[in-house]
Amino acid sequence: MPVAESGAKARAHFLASYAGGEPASRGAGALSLLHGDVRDGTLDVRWATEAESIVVVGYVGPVRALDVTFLGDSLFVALRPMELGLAGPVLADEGLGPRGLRFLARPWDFSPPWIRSAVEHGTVEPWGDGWRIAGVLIGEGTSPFSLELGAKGAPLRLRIGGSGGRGTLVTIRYGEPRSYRGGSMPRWVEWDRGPSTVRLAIDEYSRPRPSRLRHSPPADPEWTLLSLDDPRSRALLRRFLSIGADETDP
Amino acid sequence: MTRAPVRLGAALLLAASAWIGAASPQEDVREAFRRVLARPEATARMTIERSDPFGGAPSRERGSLWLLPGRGLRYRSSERGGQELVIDRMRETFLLYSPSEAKVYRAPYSRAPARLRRLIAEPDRFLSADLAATVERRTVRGGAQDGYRIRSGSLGDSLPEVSVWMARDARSGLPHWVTVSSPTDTVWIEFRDWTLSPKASPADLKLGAPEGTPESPLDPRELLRGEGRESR
Repeated sequence: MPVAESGAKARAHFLASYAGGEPASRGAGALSLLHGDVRDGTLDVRWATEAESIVVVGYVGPVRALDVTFLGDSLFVALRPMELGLAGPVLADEGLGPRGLRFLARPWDFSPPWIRSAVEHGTVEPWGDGWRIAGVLIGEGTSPFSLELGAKGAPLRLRIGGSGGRGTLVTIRYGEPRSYRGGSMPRWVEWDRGPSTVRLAIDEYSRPRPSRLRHSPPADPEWTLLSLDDPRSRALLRRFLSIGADETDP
Repeated sequence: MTRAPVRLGAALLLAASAWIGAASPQEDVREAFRRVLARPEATARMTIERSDPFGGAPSRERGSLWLLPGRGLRYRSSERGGQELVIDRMRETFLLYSPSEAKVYRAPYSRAPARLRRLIAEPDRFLSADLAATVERRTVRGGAQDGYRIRSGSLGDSLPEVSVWMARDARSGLPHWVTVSSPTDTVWIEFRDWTLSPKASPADLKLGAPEGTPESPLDPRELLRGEGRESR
């Protein structure tokens, strides 16, 4: 892709490459959790998406350790070694709500209308060797964002502020684009939040038929199952994501 | 994390139990499992292959197993950065070593997967459970294998939609293939180079982590202590 001559062209390049829609996808990679300079663990992950459904399976070696199923606004997280499941709806008035969480789960897909519209209507200005688009994501609340693009219109960093401009909700960094079987994608994606970083190195990306998507199997009867709105679930998720008790959920 | 040995335990349990009170072929396979589970110690090399639930290429891991019926087991991945697991009934420990994290996760024996604890503590029960088995030939790595499909859900703690199949090694008669299939994926476990020892060596249950490797509790449910639990 050539160097964009103007902010408008950079935005157009970006939208053409990253907002075309992703009816279904399949991917594989490595997910690492870092806290400061310390790596807290790595999972091999495989995921599939179809419309508004996202299923992620995490492995340690060949062993299935994690299942995440996000269907509509319903989330199910299974921590298999702990025989523990968390389940419930993602509330609309919490963080960015279910559609915001869906975008954060695959932040390379800017095709949802509310995301695309925000990018289309944002202001563009030169930024380093590239461009920066700034605007507001309008969901249940309003969250300011700034999206930095490289000289050729590839995403470098997306910062989403808290509702009403309170602090930073999350910062997403994107690696250099790479050609996969399913199209061009960043080589890696990082989600930064406070001192914690989750990094996904993408090894495979394809666009299979939507019918390939299967959901997680049910939990064993002897598992402990907690509702997502249970304070213990919150404590557990915050602990895993290293979110402070006084911080807003993403 | 701990699921490979869980699958292994369930597979051994289901497969071993299938041959009770049945015709001669079932007796043969029952004998195969009895030879493993009745010895003081059995070791084997393993290859664990798992299908991609979304249609991609399967993943594969090689490792080694030390099984001391009545005492414990150890599984060590031979992959780079692969994990190692020890369940020791006598020492009341359940340990998981993650070289990539340079960390040992520690939990009491009671936190080890129930199926594996049963495999360790009650091997006789494995050999006396009553499961229906049917002869079934399957294609494994491109070749036909004669084996036996085990009725799923026969054990109270088995997922109803999980099925198990096993095949013996043609020469040794010992377990060679065990597969565990769920609606979303399948795990193939291949056992090779079984060694059956007349005497158990508890030193084989020693975790290979370097001295001084930091330890963490294995079970995040520690976080939930004191607040009661909801189970269903």
